[in-house]
Amino acid sequence: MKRFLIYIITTLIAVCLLLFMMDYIYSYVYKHAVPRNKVANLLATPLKNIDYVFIGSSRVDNTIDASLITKKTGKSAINLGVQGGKLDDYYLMLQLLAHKKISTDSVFIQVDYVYNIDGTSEILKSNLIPHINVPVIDTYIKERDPNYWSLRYVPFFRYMKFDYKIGFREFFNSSIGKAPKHNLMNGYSPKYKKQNSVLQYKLPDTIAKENSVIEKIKAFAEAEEITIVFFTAPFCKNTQNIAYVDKLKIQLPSLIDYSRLFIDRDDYFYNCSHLNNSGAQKFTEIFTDDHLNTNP
Amino acid sequence: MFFNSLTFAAFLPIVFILYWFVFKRHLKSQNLLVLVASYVFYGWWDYRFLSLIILSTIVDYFVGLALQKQQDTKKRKWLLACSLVFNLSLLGFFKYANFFIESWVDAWQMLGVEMQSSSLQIILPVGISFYTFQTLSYTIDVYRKKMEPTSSFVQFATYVAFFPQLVAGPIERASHLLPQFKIPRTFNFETAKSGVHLIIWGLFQKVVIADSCATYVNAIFTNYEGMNSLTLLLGAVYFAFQIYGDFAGYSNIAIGVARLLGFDLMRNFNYPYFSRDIAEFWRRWHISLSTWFRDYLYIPLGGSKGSKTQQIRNVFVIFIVSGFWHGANWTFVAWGALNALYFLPLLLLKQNRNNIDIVAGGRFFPSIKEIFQIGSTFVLTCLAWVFFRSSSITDSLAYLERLFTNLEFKKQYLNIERYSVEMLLLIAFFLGVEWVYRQRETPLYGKFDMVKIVIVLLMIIVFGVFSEHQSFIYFQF
Repeated sequence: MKRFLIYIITTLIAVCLLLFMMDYIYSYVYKHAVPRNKVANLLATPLKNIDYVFIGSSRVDNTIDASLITKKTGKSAINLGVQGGKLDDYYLMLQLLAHKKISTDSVFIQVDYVYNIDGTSEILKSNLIPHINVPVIDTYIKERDPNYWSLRYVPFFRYMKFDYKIGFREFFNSSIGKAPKHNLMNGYSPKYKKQNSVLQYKLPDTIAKENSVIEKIKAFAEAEEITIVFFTAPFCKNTQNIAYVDKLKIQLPSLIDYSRLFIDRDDYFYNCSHLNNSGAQKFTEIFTDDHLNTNP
Repeated sequence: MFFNSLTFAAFLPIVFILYWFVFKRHLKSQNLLVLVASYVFYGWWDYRFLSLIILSTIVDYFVGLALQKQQDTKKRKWLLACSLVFNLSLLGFFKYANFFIESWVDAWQMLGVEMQSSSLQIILPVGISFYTFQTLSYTIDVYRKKMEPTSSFVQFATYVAFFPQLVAGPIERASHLLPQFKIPRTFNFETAKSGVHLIIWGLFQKVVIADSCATYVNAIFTNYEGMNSLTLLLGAVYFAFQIYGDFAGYSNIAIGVARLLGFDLMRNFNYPYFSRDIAEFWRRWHISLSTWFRDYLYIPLGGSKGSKTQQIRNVFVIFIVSGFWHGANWTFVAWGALNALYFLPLLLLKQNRNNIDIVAGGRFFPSIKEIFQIGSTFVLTCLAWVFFRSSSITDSLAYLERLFTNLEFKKQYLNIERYSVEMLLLIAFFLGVEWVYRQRETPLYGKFDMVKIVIVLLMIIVFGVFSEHQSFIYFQF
């Protein structure tokens, strides 16, 4: 039995050493490699000023072509939309901008049904995990993830828990310096053609009475002297409960509503809630003409 | 409780310490500990279904004792029938009730009679197919006077509920496992070490091979209508390795855990994908089930004796029942029938026992003939797996039709954000390791075992899938 216990303890020590070693290697690569997602890019950017910042979910990620804005206005712009993003995530993005001391002219936040939702994007969380040592990110994970302790202190646990996004595949791509699919300084991820022949979508029947994160965002913007503009990106014609956006305008009186902008242009949609590349280009153009200074 | 969970990682050391340090000198207490641990292990999933195991245990325990006392053949048959009816009714109700209701409604609808379809809300108790077969083997063996029934209820209950193999096998014979509860177990370093090797290798098979393949398989089978021939082919191959890694992984962990407690369980897989024909494949795949059906169904039916018609009937019966054992769906029946069709020519030409030795024995490389044999057997197996994996016969036929008619062989980008061919490297590595060590129980045993263990542990950490917890496939059976 004594021999066996020594054998087991040796094996367990080997496991611990491997976990420490891999954690160090992965963290080192993610910290020093070419950024492959928006969080890593934001943390690595040397920029101290970005004129226009767009924050939101995939309805920003796939919708705002920041390079077109730069072309039209001569000012810098970045799309920080993330797949599955919720208001909490938008707040974090604002905090990261402040953490990096990046000044902005205006921050545009896309709000729609997310007003009713609490929660965070798992995709964004997976991008944040390698940078858990950054205080803002540490607080974000601590307040929102029940596994915070393990993620923070158990070696390699964070990479195992989010292996589908930051596991070996992503680690390998980062180590060889493989460029991301889309230009992160622009941040726009276009969708092409149409996902389904039938476009349909349903917005919630009712609207939440309030959203505490919105209030936090407003307070944070005021404290940091950031100009925040809320807007709603287009939905397709066949959207049920489109009147939800009218209710949202009551809650957020300054909301710029583009929800019905392309109501007769189904060809602009990838699916009912996401524009395709043609739609995104057109929308970015209209948005720029309407709200951004095009005469530098 | 899953083997690949943190709960089990805490549970096993506790049981191990209590077993070898606290109850070391007292056999009855050790057995009782294993029984309690087994009930905790099962109850962790759903304690309500423990009642089924306990009920089944009580019935077969008393039937066993009654069979011993009873000498009248007719009454002995009645006792056996009681056990069979009770156990198979439990299995039939919990596993097949909805299937029969739906098939009945479908059959009438095909004849143009509309019927109201309503399914019962039945939860399938995990492992019911396994422990039912295990208790049946006890009653049948006692009836056949191949073994004496046990008078110790604790020993019998522990045999039925033995946690390492309770929910997904290997399906142990009473004649092999039950006597082990009667004799004191002594700790043996080499046995325990081999147990650790099996656990680590089983984990590798599960979290690295099976679960990685599962990601691709799910993406391909769910969207097969948009996939080309190459991707569909890979989908079938990946599923072959998913189910192998999943089930062989579970079996290896089960055998390894049992060894840590001083028990010997039968081997369940013996490198099946190196089989040179389907008969050999079935001698190497899910061995505990194949031999169960052979001993309790095939041979009583006449086996390979009798007229050609009887032989054909027996082959179809055993394979279709085996398919149906896996699940209440026509896809499993089709999978069984297809395997029967593969097996039949070998039996009729008396070539089903051609390949009983190790492939390429004494050589590193197989001959061209062996490569062809292994390849063709693997292709046949993969075709059958398509039925096993699909959710309906219509889907399986559509999958195969597209596979053979699309004829595009470009690598495709899947909705899981990776190319369809990316898993091949890992599978090639796995196959290579299995080939090199095909004469051993696991690749980890032997020279430089600590180095091999570290490499495998590293691979588990780096390549394992931990984010999407994949339940063991055979839990659903």
